[in-house]
Amino acid sequence: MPQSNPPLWWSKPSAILRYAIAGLSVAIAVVVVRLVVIFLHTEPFVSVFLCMIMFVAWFGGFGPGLFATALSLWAFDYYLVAPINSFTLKFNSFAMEINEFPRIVLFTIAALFANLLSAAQRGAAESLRRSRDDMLAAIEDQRRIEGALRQSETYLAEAQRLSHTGSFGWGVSSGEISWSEETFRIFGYDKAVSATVDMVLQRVHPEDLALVQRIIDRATSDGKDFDFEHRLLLPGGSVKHVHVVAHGVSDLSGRTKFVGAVMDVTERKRAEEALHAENAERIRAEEALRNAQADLARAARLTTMGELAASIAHEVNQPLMAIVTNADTSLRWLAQDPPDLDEARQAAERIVRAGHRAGDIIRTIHALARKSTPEMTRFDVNAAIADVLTLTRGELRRHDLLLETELAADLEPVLGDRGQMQQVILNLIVNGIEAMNAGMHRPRMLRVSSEMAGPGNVLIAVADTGMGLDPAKADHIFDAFFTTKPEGMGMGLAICRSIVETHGGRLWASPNSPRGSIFQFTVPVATNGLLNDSSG
Amino acid sequence: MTVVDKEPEARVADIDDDPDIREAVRGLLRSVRLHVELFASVQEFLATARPDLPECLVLDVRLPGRSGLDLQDELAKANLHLPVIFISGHADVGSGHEIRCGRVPDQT
Repeated sequence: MPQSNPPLWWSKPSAILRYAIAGLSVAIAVVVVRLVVIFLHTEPFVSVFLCMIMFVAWFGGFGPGLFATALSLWAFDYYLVAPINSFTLKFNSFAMEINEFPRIVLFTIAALFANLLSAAQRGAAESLRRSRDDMLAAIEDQRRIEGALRQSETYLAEAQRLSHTGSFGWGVSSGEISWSEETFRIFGYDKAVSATVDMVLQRVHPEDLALVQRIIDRATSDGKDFDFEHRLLLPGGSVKHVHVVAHGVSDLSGRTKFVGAVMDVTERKRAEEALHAENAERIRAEEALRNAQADLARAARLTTMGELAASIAHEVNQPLMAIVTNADTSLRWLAQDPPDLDEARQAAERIVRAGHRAGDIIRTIHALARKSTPEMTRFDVNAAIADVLTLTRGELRRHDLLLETELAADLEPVLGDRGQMQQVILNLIVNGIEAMNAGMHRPRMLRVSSEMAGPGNVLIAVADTGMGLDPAKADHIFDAFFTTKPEGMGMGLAICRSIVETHGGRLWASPNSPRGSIFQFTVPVATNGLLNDSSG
Repeated sequence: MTVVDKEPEARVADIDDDPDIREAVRGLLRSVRLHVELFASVQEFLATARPDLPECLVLDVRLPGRSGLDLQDELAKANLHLPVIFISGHADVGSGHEIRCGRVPDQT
């Protein structure tokens, strides 16, 4: 069958043409009759005209047929009614020869009958033709729809292949499973008409078999939607991850059918696993870095404290000395006769006070020296400074240095690792002491201060009257391994800056007036309620 | 700062910058009936007007500002020979030649 619409073998001619053909046909008939009369000496008027009328009625339909009939009658009148070959008035039919009348009537009836038959035949042929045309058009439509459907199916299969998503239908009671091409591919089967639950179970990873079986059982019993992921173990040994989603529907007879999709999520899973592993690795690396930084900071802290060992020992020794003296005194009062219990008690109270003081110092040393991972807490900066000053007081005195403190009373608690903050303060104080020891300038005064620096920050400053910073080296004092001391490692200030910046603060140095330098740093205050308080 | 005992037999001045040590020394000396005046620094001792000198000095070797040794030197220059007892918590102090008279063993 040709692709395009076939040209109609008959298209209905226009009315003018049909009537013109009718007139022309009558004229031809007249000519034929005349020729026959001349050459054959017979008169076939009726048969020729009937033929002509049949043709016209077939060709042009009922109207042109009637028209041709009328013209025929007129011709009849002209040629056969006396006076012959004349259009003189012949309205007096009685003037007609009486034997002509039945011929006219018979001719008219025959003509009308031929006319009707031809028109009816014509109509039937027309109707048949239209039916055929309609059928052809219907076939064409069908073909087009089939084409569109095929294309749509191709698109769907392509989309399923691209998205690694297969579809399925599962009639629970009948056990019938229909799979799309992609579903067959995902499960590693050749394309077939239908599938079975067993085919699914054969491919399910042994470790997930119980899960899949459980979900199939549940879906069978309750007919509810399901959505889960499991693994497939294919014959080649490769493992796939699939995500199955299905919607349960009941047909008119109450049978449950699931319509769903199987998505091959293996690549996504692998990417997720890789990302996960990468994250874990990064977290481990960060943890290791933090630990290394904490270890380095602690090593630096212990080094600084080692430098202060003699002074710290003295600080511990002072209260111990007081304790021994007071204990001796107490015993003396008790040895008297009678014992002076009041004096003995006063001495004992002094022992208690000195003992607490010694304990506080030991605790401070321990807090600074212990190995601990950095812990962010809220704490009072002034109390932290006071602890550091306890440890350094002996050192200041040993070097005959004056200490001035100006700790603001309105400080808000800060957020940070108290030990590391104390390390920074300790480091700056020790640096100040060393700077002043190097020169002979007087007075030798170390000034430690704290204050609120704008909203949200506490500023801590350590100022000395030492030799001051060499402007040429000022830019490098915070660099690692930069040192001006022969025995120094050059890590102190670098670690200090690292600690301060980790806490979200800033550490910098500037010249003191009239001499020396000021090291100061900021620490952000703790926002309310985030962390537990750490007692000073 | 001065506490007078019921039966004062002698007057002692103690100069120490550590308040706990000061109090301990005063308590000890009071148990042997000695009257003790306490000073936190040499400057404070010198600035305090007194009708007469104490009979004995108890000094911390290392004091902020002027040290106990400085004071001993000054007293020697002024030809004032007072018995001086040095006490110190510092282990590195105590080389005998620095302390010219009134030397006593450290308490520590």
